[in-house]
Parts: sequence; structure tokens; C-alpha cells
Amino acid sequence: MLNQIPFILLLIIFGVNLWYVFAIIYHLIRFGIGAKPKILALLFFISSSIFFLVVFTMFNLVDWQDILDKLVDFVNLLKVNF
Amino acid sequence: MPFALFISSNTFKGQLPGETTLLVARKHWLTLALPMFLIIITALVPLAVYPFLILGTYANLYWFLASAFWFFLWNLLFFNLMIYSLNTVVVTNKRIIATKQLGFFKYSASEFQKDKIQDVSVKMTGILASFLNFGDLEIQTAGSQNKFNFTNLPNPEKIKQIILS
Repeated sequence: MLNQIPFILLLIIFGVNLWYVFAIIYHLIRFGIGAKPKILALLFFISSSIFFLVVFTMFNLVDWQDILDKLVDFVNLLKVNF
Repeated sequence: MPFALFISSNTFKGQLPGETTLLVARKHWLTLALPMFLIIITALVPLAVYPFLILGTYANLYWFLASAFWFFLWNLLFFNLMIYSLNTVVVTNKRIIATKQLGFFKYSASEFQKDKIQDVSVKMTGILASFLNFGDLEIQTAGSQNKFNFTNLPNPEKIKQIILS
């Protein structure tokens, strides 16, 4: 279960941001008047895709096993002291 | 969906046959200035805090969380841009349609016929409004809701002239 925490964290981050991205693009395309909202939607779509890649890359660079091990050590230390 | 990019800038959903768009007005860009400024200042926080932290092996974790934070702020920035671009006053040869986007899946739209307009008045208050040429437009009509207020519109005198033409 502990090993799933980083994956769950990534899912939450992607889930929340994906919802935002979808809702913003949907509103701009559906309700925008003229060309400007559509261009804004396109720019947002491209930039959000880039951001997704950046966040995913940064996620892969983190040594999650080391952090989880240190977290377990910290929790055990708290249990011993209290 | 790609074809939506090539629609004329003067058409909108619900346009009547024979109806020509004369003007599509949005609020003055200054209404975006404060939210944008706050978002930019907030985005600088991870960079400002980084030199004072001793991260060691946690540097990658820090930059992962910072990138997720910047992604969220980027969404917030475009949320504000979305609200700005979807709050419009459309003046056609037949009517005036005001749409206000209040959030996700929450908007209000009001419209009234041009021939029911009784009075249009412009209000510009302050030095900033005078220099940057923005103000409020109040339209009085003969309908049940007889007063419409549009705030922070750019070049309100020109909009008034177009409405009365």
C-alpha cells in the first residue's frame, strides 16, 4: 500500500489538472465568440500538454523508494517516542 | 473542432437570420491585471524559497512539487483568461446581448432589443479610467428589467455611439 502513494499522488495531480484543462478548453470552444477564444484554447491545450510532460518527467526523476523508506523510519521513530 | 478556428470573429451561437454583429466588447484588460499579478508573484515563491533550503537528495522531489504547483497556477491563469474572454457584450443591428461567465458551467445571459432602448449613459471615474479610457455603460430600456449596467468597458463612448446608431 505504501508503495502506491507516489502513484496515487500523481493520479490526483493529473486528475485535478486534467479536469481543469478539459473544462477550460470546453468553455472557450463552446461559448467563445470570435477567433480569439479558440486561439486561446489551442495555446492552452499545447502548453498544458507540455506541462503534463514536464510534471511526469519530474515525477520519474524522484527516488520514491528512498523517500518512502525515510517516511517509514520517521513514523517508527514517532511511535517509539510517543 | 478544427473548423471552429476559422469562423468569422463576428458570428455567435443564436445569431438570428439577417442579424449583423456590429461590436463584440469585453472588459478592459486592466481587470485582468490584478489576478495576473498575484499569480505571477505566487509562481515566484518556489524560486525565491529554493536558495534558503538545504534539500540534499530531496531536490528532485522539491522540483516535482514545484512543477505541479506551477501547472496548477497555469490552469488558474487560463481560468481567469477564460472568464475574461467569455464575459462579452455583443451589439448587433437588432439587439444587445450580455453574457457573464461566473465559473465553470455557470453563466448568465441577458439581451434586449435595440428599439426598446430609451437612454444610454457613460460613467468614467478616476484618473486611471480617463488615461486608459475605460468606464461603465448604463442602458435604460422599456422592458421589465429596465436598467443594464456594464462595468469596465474599454472606449465606452464609442460603444455608446454604436448602440445608438
